[in-house]
Amino acid sequence: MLKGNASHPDYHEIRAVLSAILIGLPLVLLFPAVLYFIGRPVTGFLINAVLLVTTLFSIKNFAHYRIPMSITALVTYYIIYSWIKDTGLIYSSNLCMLHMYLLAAILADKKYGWYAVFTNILLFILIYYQTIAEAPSLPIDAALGSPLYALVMNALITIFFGGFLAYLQMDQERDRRALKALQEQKITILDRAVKKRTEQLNTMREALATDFHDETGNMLSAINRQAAVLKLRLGTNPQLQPIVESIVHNSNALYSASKDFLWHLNHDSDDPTELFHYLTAYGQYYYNQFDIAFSALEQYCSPRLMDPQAAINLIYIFKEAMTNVVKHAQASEVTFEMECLSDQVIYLLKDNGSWRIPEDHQHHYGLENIKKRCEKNRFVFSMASTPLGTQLKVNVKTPNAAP
Amino acid sequence: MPPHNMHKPKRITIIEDNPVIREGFAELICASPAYQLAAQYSNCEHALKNLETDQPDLVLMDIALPGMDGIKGTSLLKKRRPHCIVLIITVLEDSSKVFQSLCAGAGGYIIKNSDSTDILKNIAEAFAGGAPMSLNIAKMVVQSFNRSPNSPLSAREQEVLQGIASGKSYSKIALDLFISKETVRSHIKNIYQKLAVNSKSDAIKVADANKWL
Repeated sequence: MLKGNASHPDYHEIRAVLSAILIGLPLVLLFPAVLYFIGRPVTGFLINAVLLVTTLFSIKNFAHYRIPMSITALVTYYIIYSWIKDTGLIYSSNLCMLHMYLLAAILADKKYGWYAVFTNILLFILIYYQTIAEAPSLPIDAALGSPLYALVMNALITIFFGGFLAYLQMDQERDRRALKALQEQKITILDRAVKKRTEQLNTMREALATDFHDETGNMLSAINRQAAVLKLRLGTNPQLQPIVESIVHNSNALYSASKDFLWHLNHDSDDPTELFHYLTAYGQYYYNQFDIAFSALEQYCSPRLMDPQAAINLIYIFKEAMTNVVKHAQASEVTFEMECLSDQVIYLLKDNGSWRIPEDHQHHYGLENIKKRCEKNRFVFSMASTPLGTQLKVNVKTPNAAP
Repeated sequence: MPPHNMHKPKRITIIEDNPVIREGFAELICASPAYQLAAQYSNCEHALKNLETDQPDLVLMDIALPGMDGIKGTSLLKKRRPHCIVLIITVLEDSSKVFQSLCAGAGGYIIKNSDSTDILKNIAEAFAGGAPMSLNIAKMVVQSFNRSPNSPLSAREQEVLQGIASGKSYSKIALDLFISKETVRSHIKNIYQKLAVNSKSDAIKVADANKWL
């Protein structure tokens, strides 16, 4: 889970611990390798190495290091203390092991570093008092002078390390802030560029819609009006009337298709609710031409988006279906509904009529077109007929729905 | 209406700058015995100048016109001839421009692309006291009335308006409210009239207090 996942909150912390242990482990093993030949005890180093390996496994298997690290720290303290105790207390050369431990703690985890600074100083004070208590029995005392000097020197070295640690932290924090500021600056620049581009696109879309309004729409209306004039003048000429009607039909179809296309370009057409409103407006307009009671039932839908191509296809599907209801269902009431599930939206067109079994090819093609379009766009289509009415259902996946 | 006026054809003026569309409408009106073409203009200025001579009962008004636009034209025409019906002729029925024209006093709209029968039906409905309303126009009307705390609409008008704004067809509203489709349309006409009055008082209030919009 954590592997390679730099965005995980614990990633950088565990990565630092891991690399400190991986570097520290061979160095820790260097000591027993050398000390063995000069006849010094090596068990402590080996125990320490085993504990470090345990910590490594804990990180690998559980992504956790605090408990094994703390145990390692305590055991290390105990081992080092036992060496110091037997080798001259505050004058012991093994005191340098405590400094080494502090360095390793700082490298592994800054929090452990601060703990180690204080525990080391406390340990030095403890050893100092033990030295004073055993002073008469330590012959070295006379040669090396006051145990206070040794205590002060060791404490100063520890404070020196602490200073380094504080600097390290401050430096890292400064870098982190600088990086964050840079990131934010880049994000702002990018954000502005995206906004500007979106505005440009929107202006372009609006210009397209205005053009349609002023030019294309008027031109189509002009064709329609001229065809109507032609129809008036032709009277009931059986040969020419169908041609005029075809001109009107084609111009109307182009007008309607352009409207859908422009809506698709101009609005949040990938929002299922926006699409529902558009189709509701269409249904209302369409059924107002007939004596059909049309209404819409909308369920609240959490914010989500459909595939960008879904809307235009759903428009074609439901326009076809709404037309079929008038042509073939002999219904007096139609309802258009939208339901929302966690990962999909369902559009339903219900009527109180019954869709006729296809008699002519046109009807057959209509329903076939709907099915084909659903299949192509991976919508789930279903249709159910009862004596009370017919229901046409289309399920659309919305994988990015908000929880 | 006095009996001798019963069969007098209604006078219609057309204001549209596209000559093909204008003549298309003109020919349709000329062919209908119920109507008489009073005049046709390519701009508002000329139409307003000849208003007294033309004496139209109904004006078919385009919105985008050279010079004065149809919204301003509607407003001036209604001031001088309040009983004249203005029907907006438009490419898209639910644009904000259509809504603005309705606020200026237009009594309805006709889609330029409609069939001849539908156009004549719309004109006849307007004379009979009815008007159409699309879902998006209904939404804009709702918003407009919501701005003032005391709605001038009657309870029935509210129900009709809400019905249209929720996507119901006229038949569905008629069915739900136990009224006829014609009554639904006459409610819409009254809503438009109140909208125009409301918009005017809105404009005055805006000028006075400058607290809206």
